[in-house]
Amino acid sequence: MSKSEKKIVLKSLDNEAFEVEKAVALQSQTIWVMCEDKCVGNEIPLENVTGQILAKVIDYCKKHAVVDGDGDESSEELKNWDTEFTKNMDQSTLFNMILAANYLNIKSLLNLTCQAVADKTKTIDEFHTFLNIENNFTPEEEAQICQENLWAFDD
Amino acid sequence: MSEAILEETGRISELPDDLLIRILSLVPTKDAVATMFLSKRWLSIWTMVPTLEYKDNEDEEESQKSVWWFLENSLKLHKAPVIDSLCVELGSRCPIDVNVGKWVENAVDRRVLDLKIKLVWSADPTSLPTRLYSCESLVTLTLSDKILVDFPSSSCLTSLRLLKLYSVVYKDEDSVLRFLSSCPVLKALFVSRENDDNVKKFTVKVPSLWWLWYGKGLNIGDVGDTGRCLVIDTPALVYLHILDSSGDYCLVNNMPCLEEAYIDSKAYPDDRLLRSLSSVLSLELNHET
Repeated sequence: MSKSEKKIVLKSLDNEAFEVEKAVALQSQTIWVMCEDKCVGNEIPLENVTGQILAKVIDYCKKHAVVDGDGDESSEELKNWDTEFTKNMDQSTLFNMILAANYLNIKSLLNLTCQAVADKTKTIDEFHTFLNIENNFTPEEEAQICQENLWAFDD
Repeated sequence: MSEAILEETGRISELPDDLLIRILSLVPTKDAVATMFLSKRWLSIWTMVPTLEYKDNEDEEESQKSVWWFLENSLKLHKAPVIDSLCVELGSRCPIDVNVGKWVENAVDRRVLDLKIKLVWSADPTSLPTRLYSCESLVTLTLSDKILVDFPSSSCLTSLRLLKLYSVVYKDEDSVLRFLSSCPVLKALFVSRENDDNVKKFTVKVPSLWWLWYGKGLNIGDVGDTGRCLVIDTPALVYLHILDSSGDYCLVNNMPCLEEAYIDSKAYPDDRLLRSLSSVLSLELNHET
């Protein structure tokens, strides 16, 4: 990391600018690579993330940048913070957070958001309702698939 | 993809396959498999999930079917080119003539990283396919209970870093020695032993090992000098934990890097053992008679 610039500006898809500490932003592997490769000034355009989502991503990175240096007793607190962070996210926000974490390549955030979806979909009915999946099998197809895969219902 | 982001109501099920697979790898295998009934798109997504866990629950009622049939049917359809993790625990309800080895080989073919096999069924200890012991991709391996460990002479586990051997039976002493000395990058070893595991002299000779946890219960029916012993030859060891009520003799070579040791042993720690502990920063010794 170059010592001359401590802060960088992240610009969202909808042109919202966020000035953040470099240490915060560099938790994203994608931003890291951008900084190394072709940093134009100190402004990084993020063409795949909206300002609303980027603000949340930055919240996450700020929290993790601070606590990671603080030692062991904070890990419990950090876990609780993570739980709270995703607890009330609706499907659309989680969806965009997963895409953003994937695009920005922030592994811990990707794991956290995927886990949040996994936690909300414990049963097949929850999958249907939470993921809002439209069943596009014809009744005949569905009957056939069920018949061929009766083993999957074994308990 | 950017269109989907712009949309106000992004739906999880519109995520690309690789991210859906990531989510499915976090739910129990049974639930992941059941997503095939959701819609046409979901019919085969579960078959790419790289983490699989099949466990018989011994607390369930006797009438419950073993997970074996589910395992066999789902693995027949499963297509992920690489398996990150496969965990198989078969209990007393599993028929004893099933071919576990077939799926172990299948996992080896698909470059499995983490493999756990636990057999607590009523059959005699069973050998696993020899190819398991030359699986180049394997990083962590757990073998537990009714497994007969028969390590072939020319095999090698080149990537194995963590090994757990819980209450297994060994073909002979050489099998233990060969196994442990054929893991050139092994860092952590957990062993818990039963009395009748065919091994009198248990030799841990692993130059790369940092972490050793060894446990053994009471010897039953032994009187006097049995010749049973534990030999530890691990020059890089940093952490040592021994919980041994068997009275077996313990022979230890020098461990200059040792930082922490916990030794609870029925056998009296001799001078040589104590000398080899001279570099430790933290030591707890318990000697029961």
